[in-house]
Amino acid sequence: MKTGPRLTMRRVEFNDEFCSVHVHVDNKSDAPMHVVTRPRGVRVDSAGAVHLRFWDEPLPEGVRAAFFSLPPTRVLEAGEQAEVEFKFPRTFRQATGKLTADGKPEIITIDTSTAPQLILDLAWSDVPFYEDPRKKVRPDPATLFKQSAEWAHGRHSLQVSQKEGKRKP
Amino acid sequence: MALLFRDDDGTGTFFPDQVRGDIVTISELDAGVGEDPARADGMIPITYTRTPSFTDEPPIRLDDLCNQAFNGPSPLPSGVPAPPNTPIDFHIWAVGGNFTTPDGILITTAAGVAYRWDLSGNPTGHLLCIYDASQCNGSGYWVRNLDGDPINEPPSVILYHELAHLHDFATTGDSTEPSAENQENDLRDFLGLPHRDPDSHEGGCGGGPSTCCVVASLATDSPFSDEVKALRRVRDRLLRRSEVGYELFASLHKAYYRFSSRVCTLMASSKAIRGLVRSAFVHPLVSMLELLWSRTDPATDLGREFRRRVVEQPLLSQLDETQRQQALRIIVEGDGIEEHAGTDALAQTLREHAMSDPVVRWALLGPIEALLYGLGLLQAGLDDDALGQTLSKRLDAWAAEMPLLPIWKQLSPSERRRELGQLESVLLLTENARARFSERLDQFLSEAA
Repeated sequence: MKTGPRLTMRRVEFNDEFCSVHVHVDNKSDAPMHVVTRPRGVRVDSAGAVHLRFWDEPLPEGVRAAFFSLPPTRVLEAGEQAEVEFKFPRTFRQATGKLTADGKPEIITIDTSTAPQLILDLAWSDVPFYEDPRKKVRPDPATLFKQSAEWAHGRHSLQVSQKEGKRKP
Repeated sequence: MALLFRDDDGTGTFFPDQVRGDIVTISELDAGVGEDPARADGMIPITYTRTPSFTDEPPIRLDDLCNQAFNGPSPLPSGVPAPPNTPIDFHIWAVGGNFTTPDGILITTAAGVAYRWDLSGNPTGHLLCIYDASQCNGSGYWVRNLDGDPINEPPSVILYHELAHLHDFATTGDSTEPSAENQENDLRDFLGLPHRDPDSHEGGCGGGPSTCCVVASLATDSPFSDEVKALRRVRDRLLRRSEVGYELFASLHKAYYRFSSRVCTLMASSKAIRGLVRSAFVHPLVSMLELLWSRTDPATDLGREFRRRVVEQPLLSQLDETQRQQALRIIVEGDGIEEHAGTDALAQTLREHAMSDPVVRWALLGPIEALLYGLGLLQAGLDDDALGQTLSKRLDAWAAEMPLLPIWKQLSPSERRRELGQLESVLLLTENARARFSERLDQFLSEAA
């Protein structure tokens, strides 16, 4: 791409279940943008900021998946401007990988509406993602997670300002 | 009692009722399914007394998981530690669409995951599977059937797929996707669902993929039309399976997405353009690619086969000489047609973005030109023999001019031979075509040195 896109946050809406962040995307490049519109992962950094990651990361070694769920995308042609909605659950439940004293899995709740900082780590590519059918490629979803991570080469972190939020009852 | 599922802990994280329903489905509605009271750690053991007449794989598998003692594979495969607890339990967590693994991966990106006893992220010390009870927050999941079409992936099938992984882990220490996908098809048989393609590992939320062959999808009114399916078949089952084909498609793909949206915009603004694109471009392309794929022997009666395809396809047989000439004018000359408003813009788009790109020109415009050329021969009254011979020469000349991409220079000599062998079996069918292509390839490779 000759010029990177410009992304500007417009508004954020919360209801009981979901959050929608509307972002104005100005694709100033000479290639289309296939922008991933649903998060692929979540993490809380050491400062307590919640990061929603819109690109894939390789599956942890040995973990098996039912399939690789293709990232939903919105396409913006070269030179096009549009408002893109990024939608995700308002709260996430994350297993820590540890057990509590009574032997139950430890689960933490990540509430995007009350997080001190909410950051969308956005991602896109200039072409859609397709499964690799070559025989030499290991035939499993883990390979597709890895290839998808490489596919979404356009990346931009956008901080969501809660001031622009509009909480719905 | 080795199969257990996690009870509701009051936080809205786990959905035990989903497991109850899915286990009954896996038992094929056998009345022998039950459960014991929840343990102190919140796990509920599943009980199962299989009715002898239930002899399909899913109830037999469920019977094994509930009633057999698994102590781990013997001998242990290299690199796999012994299970810390024996007999091994099989733990099931049904979770919501907002669940993330310890590694921060959202469950909706995989629908279900399976962990061996030693993997990071599995705190149970047993085998663990986690699956999405929400069906991607209510939108459903799809995977591909043997024809490459999207099919539903219900939660019971996802659970059974993950249990197949766990059973493989317990018995061999490892598990492959084709194995789990083949086992999943056993439950699909009971549910009356089409089989999943065990060689395809992609799927998604909703009813199916939305981005494929945008021009053909719009021109034929559906991303699942016969034409789009045919293009997808050529893409996934022929072209992208070889190293050279994979690179050729990648190059084509990138160039295609730089002009396809303009063609779509033109089609959206004019019914006539849309009809022209379908009858004069999309349909000829699909027909010619299918003809090329089926033409494995140069001695095949190409003329007869070509005539049959044209006769059987009303869109082709109804394309008269004027329309054929108009289509050729657009794709060969890059000129619009006065009588058709909007064709100037279409021709300009093709001139600027398709004709100027050697891969697009060869892979998309070349086959269309060849079909329109053959149609002209047919309309001129050539018999099958003459038609076949003339068309064969044209296709050989086209095939031998396949663009040479840098991937050729990166292949080892044995890989190069393999690629050439594949090309010779589907594309370079005659000595003339092979000789011409080899000559070009040798020259291309010598340029590298």
